[in-house]
Amino acid sequence: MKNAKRLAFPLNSQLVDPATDAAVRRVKLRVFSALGAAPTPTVWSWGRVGFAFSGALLVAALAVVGFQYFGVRSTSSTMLPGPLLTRSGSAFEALSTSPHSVAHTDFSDGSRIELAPAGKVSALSSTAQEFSVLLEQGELHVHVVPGGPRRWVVEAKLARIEVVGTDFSVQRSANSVRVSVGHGVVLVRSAWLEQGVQRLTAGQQLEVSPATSGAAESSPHGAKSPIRPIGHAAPKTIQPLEHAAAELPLVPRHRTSPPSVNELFAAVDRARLAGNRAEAEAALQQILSQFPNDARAPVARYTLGLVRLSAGGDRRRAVAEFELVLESGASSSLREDAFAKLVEVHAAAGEASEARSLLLRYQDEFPQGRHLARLRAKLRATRTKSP
Amino acid sequence: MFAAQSLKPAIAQVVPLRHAEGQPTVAQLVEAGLHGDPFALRELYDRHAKAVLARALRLLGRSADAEDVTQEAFLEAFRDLKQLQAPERFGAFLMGILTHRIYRRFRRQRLLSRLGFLEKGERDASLEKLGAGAGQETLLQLSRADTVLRTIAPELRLAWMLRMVEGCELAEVAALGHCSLATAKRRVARAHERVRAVLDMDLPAGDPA
Repeated sequence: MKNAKRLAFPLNSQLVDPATDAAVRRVKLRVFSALGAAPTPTVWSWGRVGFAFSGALLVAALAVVGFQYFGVRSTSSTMLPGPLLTRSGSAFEALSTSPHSVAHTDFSDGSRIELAPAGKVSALSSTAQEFSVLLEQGELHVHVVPGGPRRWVVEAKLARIEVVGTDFSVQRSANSVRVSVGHGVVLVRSAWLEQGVQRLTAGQQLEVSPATSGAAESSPHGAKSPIRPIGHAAPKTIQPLEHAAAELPLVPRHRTSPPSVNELFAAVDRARLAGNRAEAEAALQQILSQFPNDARAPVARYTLGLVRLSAGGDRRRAVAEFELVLESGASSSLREDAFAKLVEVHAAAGEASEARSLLLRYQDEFPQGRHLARLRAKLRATRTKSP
Repeated sequence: MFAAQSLKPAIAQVVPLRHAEGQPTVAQLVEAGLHGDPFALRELYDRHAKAVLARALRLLGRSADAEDVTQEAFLEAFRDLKQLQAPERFGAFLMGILTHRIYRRFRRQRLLSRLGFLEKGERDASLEKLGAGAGQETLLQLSRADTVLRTIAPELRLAWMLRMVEGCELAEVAALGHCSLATAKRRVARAHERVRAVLDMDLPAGDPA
């Protein structure tokens, strides 16, 4: 004691911080696994008969919480509540308007959506990284506060609009989707666009409108996806991809230079739309061999997995591609998708332990993963079905 | 924005905001959790888990025990959210549950130890374990303090650890120990009488010796 250093109050200031991130994640898995499933006796070893009644109550309470948690999701599989809440503190679910009214929702981050008359918009997912809604009909005006952490996505059947911070409108009708940008930049993705994606800046407007089925049959060139400044009319006709796929070779004819990665991706899209799995696979392998360091190489690998998984495909080779996606430097979003596919593939093949193990890995890496609820439900369903 | 702007909104969504910007408040998360929002529960976990687990580890020593009580505390807190009259005090509510569970562990460990059912390897060595990096003399002190703490009454041990290890105010020690302030002071002082024989540490100024 004589030579010992006098300890100061409080002692925790001189002790190492004992709670590691790994331990916090480990306990989180246990907590939310227990919330999602009936607790096991090992977890709830009360040790005394006097607590048996309390234990029974707790199991009942957890069952209620579990029912609320998973029951709501299973009845509304497209809604995944997430961190972006409305200003009232609740999760956004849906918004609809009559032919004579408008409606709006303000969000806790200052963003706002406004729905024109006769419109309907519903939530698809809401996570810390992404907020996604489905515009089922009508016109939606979106004001996203710039600099926010989330990517906003508006799905509108024919097109998908992605932004981070901007002001834009989406108008969906039976046969077209029109996107108008007030401020900032948006990306419109659609199979009806020549390159699959179009960047729009302030003042621009894009109408994605494939031909109606009857018109398309009689006129394969009838579709149009014109991009023009708002207020101008200079439509550029674009061939619909279904018809283009049948007519265009994998890469453009009459060329001397090798195809670019963009052209190869376009070829993949055309081949997939035409249902030509072999050509899609060939183009994807060409991307992976010729552009292994391209930022989109992991996307190509993931797509190759999907193509191989499609009807008549090779499941094992598809699994190998998804595993390679996880080993590559894929983005978080793509890693989540690859995890989800692996879990689904193993679950579908009856490999429950492998699927569970992958789900745990996925949970560990993405505690708020956007596929978690769906995958848990799928695994539970698989477990229920199995004898 | 729209031609029909003058028409009344079909759904009035604007509600006075309690927390005008940034992340939702703890109270908002508790309310959302009560409505079954799993995100809210996860967010509550993320905000509090590290502090809760750290306290459990410092007080219990063994990581398996600490993780168990942390899990149990969160589950109980989520289960009993309805009982929380002041949602913004979720953190204190959670710590109260945790402390009660730690106290029960202390009692069980003491009983098992007295009955000889606790193996040496199973004994908690919270302070010594967490003093990694400290000098030999300090480690020796902490080890001896662990030994003494194992022998004193669980309520005294808990009160002393909350006060001297965690740095809780005496009023908080009283609240967490479900006793009066005077009792909390007495418990800390009585435990310290035993501990100071092996640990070179003074009670904070103002605490009754």
